[in-house]
Amino acid sequence: MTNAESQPDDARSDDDRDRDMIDAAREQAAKLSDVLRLPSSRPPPDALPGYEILRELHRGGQGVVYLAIQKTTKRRVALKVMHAGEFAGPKDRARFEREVEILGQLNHPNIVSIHDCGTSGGAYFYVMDYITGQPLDAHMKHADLSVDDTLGLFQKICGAVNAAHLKGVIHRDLKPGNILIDSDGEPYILDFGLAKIATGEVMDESHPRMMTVTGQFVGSLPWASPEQAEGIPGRIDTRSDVYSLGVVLYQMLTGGKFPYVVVGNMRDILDNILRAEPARPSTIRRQVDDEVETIVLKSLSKDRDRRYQTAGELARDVQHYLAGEPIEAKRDSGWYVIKKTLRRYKVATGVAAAFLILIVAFAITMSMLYRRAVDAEHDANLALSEAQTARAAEQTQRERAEAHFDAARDLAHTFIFDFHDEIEHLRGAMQARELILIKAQQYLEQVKGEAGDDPAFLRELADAHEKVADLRGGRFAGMTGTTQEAMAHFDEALRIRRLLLGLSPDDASLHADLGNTRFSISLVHRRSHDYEAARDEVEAAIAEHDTAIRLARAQGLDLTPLREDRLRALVGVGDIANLKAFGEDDRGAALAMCDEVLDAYDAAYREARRCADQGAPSTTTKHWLGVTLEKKARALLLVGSITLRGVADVIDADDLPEARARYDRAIGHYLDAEAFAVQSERIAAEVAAMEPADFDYQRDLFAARLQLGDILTRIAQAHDDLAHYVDGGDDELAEARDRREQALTCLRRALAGAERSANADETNLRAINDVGRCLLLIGDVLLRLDRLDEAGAELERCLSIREQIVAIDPIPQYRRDWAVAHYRLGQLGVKRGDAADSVNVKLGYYQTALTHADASLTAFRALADESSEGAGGSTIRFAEKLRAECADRLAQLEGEP
Amino acid sequence: MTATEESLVSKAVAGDHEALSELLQQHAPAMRRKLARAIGDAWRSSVDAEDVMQVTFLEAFLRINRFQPGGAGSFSAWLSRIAENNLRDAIKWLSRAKRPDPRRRVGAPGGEESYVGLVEMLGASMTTPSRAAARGEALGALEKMIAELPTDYERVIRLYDLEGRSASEVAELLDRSPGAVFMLRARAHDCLRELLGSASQYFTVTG
Repeated sequence: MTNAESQPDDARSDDDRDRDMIDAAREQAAKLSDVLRLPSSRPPPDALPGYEILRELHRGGQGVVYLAIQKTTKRRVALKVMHAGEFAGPKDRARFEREVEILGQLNHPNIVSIHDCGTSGGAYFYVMDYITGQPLDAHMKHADLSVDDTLGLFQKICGAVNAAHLKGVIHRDLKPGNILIDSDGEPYILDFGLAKIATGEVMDESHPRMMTVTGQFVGSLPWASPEQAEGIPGRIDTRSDVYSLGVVLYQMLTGGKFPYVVVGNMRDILDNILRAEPARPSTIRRQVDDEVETIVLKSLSKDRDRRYQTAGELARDVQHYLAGEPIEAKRDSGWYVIKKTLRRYKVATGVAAAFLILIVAFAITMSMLYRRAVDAEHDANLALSEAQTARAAEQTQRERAEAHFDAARDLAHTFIFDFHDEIEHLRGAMQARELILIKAQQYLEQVKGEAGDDPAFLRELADAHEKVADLRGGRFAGMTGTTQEAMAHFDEALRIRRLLLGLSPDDASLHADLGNTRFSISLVHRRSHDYEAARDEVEAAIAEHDTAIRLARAQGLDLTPLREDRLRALVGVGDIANLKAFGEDDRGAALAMCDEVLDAYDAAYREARRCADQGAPSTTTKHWLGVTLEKKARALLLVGSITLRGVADVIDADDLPEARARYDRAIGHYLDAEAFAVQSERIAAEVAAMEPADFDYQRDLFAARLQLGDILTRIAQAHDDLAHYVDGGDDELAEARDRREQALTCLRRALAGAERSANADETNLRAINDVGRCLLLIGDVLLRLDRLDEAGAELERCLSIREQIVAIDPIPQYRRDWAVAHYRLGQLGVKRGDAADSVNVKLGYYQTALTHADASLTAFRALADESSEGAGGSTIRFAEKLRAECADRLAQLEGEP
Repeated sequence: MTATEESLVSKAVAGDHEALSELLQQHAPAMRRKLARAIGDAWRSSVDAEDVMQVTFLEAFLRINRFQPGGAGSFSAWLSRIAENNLRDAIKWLSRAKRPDPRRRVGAPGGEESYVGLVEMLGASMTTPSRAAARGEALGALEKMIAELPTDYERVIRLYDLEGRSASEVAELLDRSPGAVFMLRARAHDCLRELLGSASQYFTVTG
């Protein structure tokens, strides 16, 4: 920029300026060297008795190392002096004394040995061999060793560490900087300063020798093992050194690279040590073959039990490799890889889940093997028996084999189907779910046709088909399978159930099963927006439930579960009508459909009321009462919103009386909805209080509060609109504000509940998602209350939660939620920009808004592309509109001076 | 290497600052030309060669004791390397500054948080534990260290890292180019890391 030649009139020459800069630098350097106590600017400490200090070699965390001459022997030695002053607390001194004590016990050609120690002028020092060499990392940089030579050197290092291990000494701070290589290429391990005596037993935290009281971590982070990073001193043992050696080997092989990122924020580094899988060394250096990689990765196993147990074991395997013998370390098996994949999701229960999957796999395999064994045995026996050999013997054998088979089948069945439910909402369990599903299908394939006429087995089989169908076509539709596949399984379930009913037509439970299957089928139709088919199925389901109840009553059986099934189907009728009305574009037709919705929910409510009045009071009946009330509220909410459809056109046409009338009607519906919602919230609260540990009931309460919040928001919006567009005045605005404040209170209560659930079980993704939903609605209300900064905070939090969720479990629903959060933030950005005064600030907000709009648009489009039903058009339109708004405003700003 | 230069270098390495000043004065014009070329048109508006030179000189004084003379041209090569590194830091951060790093703000400006954030940002290769810092016991020490930094380093840390001002603001306050702010900051962080201790040191994770 500044150039004297082009600016001859510059008052001062380059030379002058250079001199000034150099003088200033010199002055500052003098000041800083003083602070840093750089070797050149500070004399070595006063002569230590018996030694003559030549120069400083190294300045480390614990002290300074000098080159010295031992006066009596004229030998050159390294002399380590503890930092004095502010760095040398009693802790440091104790550590120093321990270091000396431990080092004195070690005697190995590749370990730097100690000769003497003492104090001088309050400073502690000790004397060790002086090794002329360079640290391992520097050595590796210059030496350019082949993989085999590298391993040879590493083996020696392991041998030395092992010698210490055999004496019960753990280094705890192994790293290239602590390993010196002399001119002959011999390694020397330094700084056993952090080592501590391993007792070989459980550590006694109060042991006087232990410097590391609970919670303290001693070592260098990039080379630390997971147990060191966790800071649990009692868990540090020889295997921790093996891990550090693994990191060292990794670096030796890859030119200094670390297995994972070890720079940046400390939390991230700790997290990487604890959880990040090492990048495969062979991807960094091609010469690293499979076996060497296996050795490295085994040393770096996060799980201590899967590592080499001592440095000696590691050294031996390296020796095996160098000698061309098979190594002992084995590649992880497929199942272990799955287990690891699961673990990566940091699930507290993840290990348990992974373990159970192993069992599932085992159970399934066993059951198939047994089946085959049965068949083989059977065939063999048939061949042998030839009619005259002991039929009885064959019979016994067959029975025994079948008993085995049944046991295995039970096990497999339990794990496949019950276990799935357990992990369904577990975060990160996607792979596990999919795996179980695949296994379940294989299982069904395998046992197909073998059920014979055993009713119990047939029924189980039908259940299994239904389960698979549910999963394929249900919640995860679009992710893990297709509707067609689901329907095929449902058909098979239906076929079997009808077969069973043919065998015992008066069995109430079989009718109920059939009803439930048909209900499940209706759900699939519902999701494919085929409401007619859904309606047919649900009505068929109700008919089956009616039959079941009639039969059960005649047989004097318990009606409660059957009535509950019927209730569910009745609610289903309302749900289908609700969806149909919601999807109907024509306002008049939609309003007409709403009557149907209200009737259906009302029928369900009356049935729930009857159940509650007739049966013994139970949580379940209460729950259903709450659910049906909530549904009624929802239906009225829909009626209200359909009433307001097209009201903007009415206003544009200046027909204010008609607009007013519509708003009044809508508000009336909303107020009815509010009344039901308040009741349902009260009931949900009671139920939740009765079963505090039941997540589903807590969630009902959450849903009820969310619903009430939603209704209050709509009421507020209607009043707002009246004030702004029709003829309302300040009281409308005040009413809107009051209602929004109410909604805020209600939503915050819902949020608190959701947060409690999420905190209680951090693996519960649905609960975490609920937190996100609340935040979104709260942000929305705040947005409309013009509390833009608060809205921003809530929405940002919502986005970040949703980002996390999507990273763990990218099912379409979660991705859609994530996109919605972006969309809202985009809206907020526009609003903030509009409210801002300065052009620059506006520009910033609009640009942020544009980014969010783009993110939501991209996500919505991707979702629409993936969706088999081509849904999502309206979300795309909204996002496009928002984007256009942002772009327009930005363009306007550009146009301004 | 001329006889004079050779003797100047060996004096400088031995700690003679006068000799080093003389050497730097000799090499300054070449450095200025090289830097101007390397900065080019793309960064001319945001990086000033003299800013880079100033920091390079400071580092030369700080590091001369570690320099190993290796015959003709070795001092010039050493000095060029320092200058190149400095320039690279300036430009690296400038390109990054276009997409601001959210973690740059190390906490509420001026508060205790900002010190803790700074310690965290300095990374793992330091002695003093961030959580110990969080407990407040190391904050005093950190503050003392910052106060002892060369003035420019200190001001950049205070204005940018602790007070949370923008790079352009800091540049204006220091009357430097924005590139210089990033370069000064990188060097200041190096210094702090050194003051806090090297990677070979222990540190406490919790306590």
